[in-house]
Amino acid sequence: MDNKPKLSELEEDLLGELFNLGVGRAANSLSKMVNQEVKLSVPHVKFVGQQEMEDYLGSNSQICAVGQVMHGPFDAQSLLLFPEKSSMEVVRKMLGEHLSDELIAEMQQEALTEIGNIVLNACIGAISNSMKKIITVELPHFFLDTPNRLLSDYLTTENDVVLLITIDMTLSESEVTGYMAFILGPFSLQKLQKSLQEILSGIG
Amino acid sequence: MSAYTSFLEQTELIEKLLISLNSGLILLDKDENVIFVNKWVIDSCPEIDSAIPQQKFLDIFPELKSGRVYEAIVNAGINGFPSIVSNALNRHPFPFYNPIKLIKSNDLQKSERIFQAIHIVPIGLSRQSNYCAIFINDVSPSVMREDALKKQVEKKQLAVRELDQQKKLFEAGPSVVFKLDYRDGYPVEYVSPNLYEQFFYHAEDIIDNNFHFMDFIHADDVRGYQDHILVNIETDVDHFEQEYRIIDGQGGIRWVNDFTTVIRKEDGQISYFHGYLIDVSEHKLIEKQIKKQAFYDSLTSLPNRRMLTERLNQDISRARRHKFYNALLFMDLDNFKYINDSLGHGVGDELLVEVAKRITDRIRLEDMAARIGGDEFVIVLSELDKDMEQAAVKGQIIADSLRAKLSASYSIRGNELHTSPSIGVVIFPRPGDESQKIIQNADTAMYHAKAAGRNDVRFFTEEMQLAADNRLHLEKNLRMAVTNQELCLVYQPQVAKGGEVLACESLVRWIKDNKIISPADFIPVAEETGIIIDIGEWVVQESCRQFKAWQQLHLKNAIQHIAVNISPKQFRDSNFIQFVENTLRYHQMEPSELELEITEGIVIADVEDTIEKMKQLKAMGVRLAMDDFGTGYSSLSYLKNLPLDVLKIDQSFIRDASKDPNDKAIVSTIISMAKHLKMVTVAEGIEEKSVLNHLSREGCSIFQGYYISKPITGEEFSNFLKSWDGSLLF
Amino acid sequence: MSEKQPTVLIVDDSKVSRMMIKAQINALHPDWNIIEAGGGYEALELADNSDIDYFSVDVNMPEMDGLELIERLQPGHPTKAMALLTANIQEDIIKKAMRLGAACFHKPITEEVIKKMTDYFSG
Repeated sequence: MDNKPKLSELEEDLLGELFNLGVGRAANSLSKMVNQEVKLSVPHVKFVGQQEMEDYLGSNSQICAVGQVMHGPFDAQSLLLFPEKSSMEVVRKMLGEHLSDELIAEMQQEALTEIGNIVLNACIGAISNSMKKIITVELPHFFLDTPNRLLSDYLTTENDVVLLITIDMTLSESEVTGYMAFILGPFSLQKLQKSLQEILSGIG
Repeated sequence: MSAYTSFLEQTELIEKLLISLNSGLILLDKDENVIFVNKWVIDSCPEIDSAIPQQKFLDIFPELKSGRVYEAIVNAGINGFPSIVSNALNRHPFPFYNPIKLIKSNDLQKSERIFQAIHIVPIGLSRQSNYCAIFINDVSPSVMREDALKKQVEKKQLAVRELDQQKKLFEAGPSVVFKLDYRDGYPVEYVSPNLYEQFFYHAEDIIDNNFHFMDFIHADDVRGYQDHILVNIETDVDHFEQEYRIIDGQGGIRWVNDFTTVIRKEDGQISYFHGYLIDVSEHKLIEKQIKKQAFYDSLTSLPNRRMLTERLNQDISRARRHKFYNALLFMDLDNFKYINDSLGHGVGDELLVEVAKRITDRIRLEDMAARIGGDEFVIVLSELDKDMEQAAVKGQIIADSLRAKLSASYSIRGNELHTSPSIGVVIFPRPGDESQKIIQNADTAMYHAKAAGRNDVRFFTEEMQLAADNRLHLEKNLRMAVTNQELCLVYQPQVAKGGEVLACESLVRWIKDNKIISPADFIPVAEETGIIIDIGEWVVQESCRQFKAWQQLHLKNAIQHIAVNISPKQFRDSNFIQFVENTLRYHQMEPSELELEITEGIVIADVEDTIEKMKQLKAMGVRLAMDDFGTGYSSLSYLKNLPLDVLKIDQSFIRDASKDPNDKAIVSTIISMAKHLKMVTVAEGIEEKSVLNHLSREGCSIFQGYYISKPITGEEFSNFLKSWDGSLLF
Repeated sequence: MSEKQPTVLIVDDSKVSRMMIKAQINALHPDWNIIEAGGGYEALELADNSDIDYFSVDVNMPEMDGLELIERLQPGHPTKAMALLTANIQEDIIKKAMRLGAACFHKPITEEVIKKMTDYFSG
């Protein structure tokens, strides 16, 4: 069965724009928090299957993930993902270069959880605002696992799709690539599409 | 019961639970009023009192206005999304402290706040959440280990900073730090900025152009540098030190002390060199100076005895190895003491400096001249020849030329001075030779040079060695000869043309252990050692006594005067004139009854002085004769200035005078010259009648020799006088 | 009073954004001409060939970011009003924009924001 979603170009465009808004706001928050320039940009938004997802993330290396479940016009498991090395780098840049590896490791989980919380909240918030609908979000959870195991927890059926958003993060002269993922059931996807179409017609 | 009340009841319940969980709870309504805080919050926060209904969150916690917590609160209000504020990124947003600490003191520092993990959760059923709950957890305990880790980190940082400071301090000083790549020529990876100050190269240039360290090392030291490194590396020594020269940015040569550490990779392979250099040129200079002082004579800058000995030992070994012969010259200046005494040490010193200079000018580069004492110099001539005789010849040549050079006049502080060296030469090495022995032998040889009349070169041979030994022995005995009355005089008559016995010459003999020792054997020694003064005095005295004794006999052939030989040293003696005067008076002799015979040599040594003394003696009335005339290397011009009465022609001319045309001519000349100068000639050593006749015909006045009589004792002389018949002469 | 209608160039890689901005501008100033470009190079070309009065430029574009585009546009259009739209208002972006003589406006694209922008254009 063909899993490829059928969002139109414009719909995808809008989605991208929404995520742009979201990460932009998140970057603002992060910047203020760590007193450094933080830049976030969204180069890609695309729908992928599990295999492709693993291709992006690397099937055997560990990734750090922060997940928040969202409910609203559509339901999804939202995730912010960093390959482990990148996540260490992000945390190190945010906490300060001078700290020892042990300290960084200890605080890594907490720091990433908050970062994930900020980014996901902002993106979901942007979506919520433009849809003018209520979305509820649960408290974030932290995972450190291989993509394979992570996804198999969430992708329960073959028909589940992953909306993968690539995020480029620049802070303090290092560039890190992370990902945001929204894992949607097929019904949720349809609902999402519908909501997007509503927004588009509002612009006209 | 309003929903509000039941909610509060519920929260009380919740609160009880919360206390057991050690967490704080702040409840806000949608207008950001704080409607509830739990006991934990009250106990932990000094700024809150218990019931604070209807106070704005920011009024209670104004410092949180621009922070993450408030942002999350607002967000919760807008979106209804929960947020976490991590302890990692926000350490102490709320002014909460450990309640126990708070009881102790109200005034706690911000750094003493508890570490906080905060959850901000909107509570409500709809999007317009009615409440916002803020949960605060004290995560300090888990942070204590963090603190320890932090301390560790700080310590490390401090250490790094200190090291950095030390590095900066170090690099500001004279040590130039370097890092060299372990590759051919050792490319310079890093060199500290003070390189310019120390060695006039720009550090950036060196590093940028990847110069090789070896390029800076003095050509002569390159090999040594490399070898030193290799040796150390091979023996796994990773820290080493060496000294070598480098060329600095101005082209100057600088001595440096290099401390290098070898840095290895984990597998033991050499990664690079790390080290530093210090300029020790000045230090080296001082070292050199000290060395110089220990080995060099401060006045003349020639090597001193110590250095000579070392050099000599080296030369002996080398000569034995390569089988060639060297020469050692032992030299002293003939009248240095006199110059020093009469003109002062200043002049004496300058003279020595000039002498040293002339010596070094003359000798070759491979030779060494040393000053070993007052006016004593030793010169080592290296590698003269593989044949001993040839070496001797070469040595002679050099020694002679040295002698000539040093005899030339000196101009010191306006004085024109003359001195000359006596040089003793030893050819070495011979079996058993060692440095002291060689010097000793050369000294002995020099002695002989002096004895031979100075300004001379003499060689040391085995015979000389023996003679030296004998001579020492002789000297000892000779000193006692006068006191032991071992000396006696014999007399040889001098006969005039007419046949009458005019005078006699007294000659000294030494009888020791029933053996007669000839004057030729002991007079030179006596002269050299100064014993001659005593002997000479005795001779003069005894001669006068004897003369007087003969006079008392009133013999028919009484002589007119007695001739006594005076040695150079005796003549030079400042008391001499006085002594003569005293002796004459003592023995009640007429001055004209005493004839003093002095050799040509005495005159040559110091013409001025001689003439002066002779004039004085003449003034006294004493007769003066010049002995061995014709044998000295003198010019005839002075002859006219000498107040001489007699010229004694040396027997070497007389012996063959009748046969050898040359001798004949010389004798003739002397006689005629003497006549012109109004001097009387005495011919010595006449052994044949023909000679006597010949000389008589030539015009010679007085005759002496075996033909007439051999030298005889005083008593025998008396008899001789009694029985002499002059007519039998011719 | 017949004035020439001003022409606005909207530069944004998101078609939706362009649509939204256009819609909002139209609502406020129906007489204004609006042309669109999807990226920096397209924008430069259009700017050379047409007579443009106002520029609305999105910061976050893949080919060429908004700041760079403005920098490149300036020489050819020294007196024209330029506005930057960004979801991420950070100090350094504002500073850079000011140096370039452009104004910054905060996304999301709302009626308010667009009004502020058009007010800025009209002077």
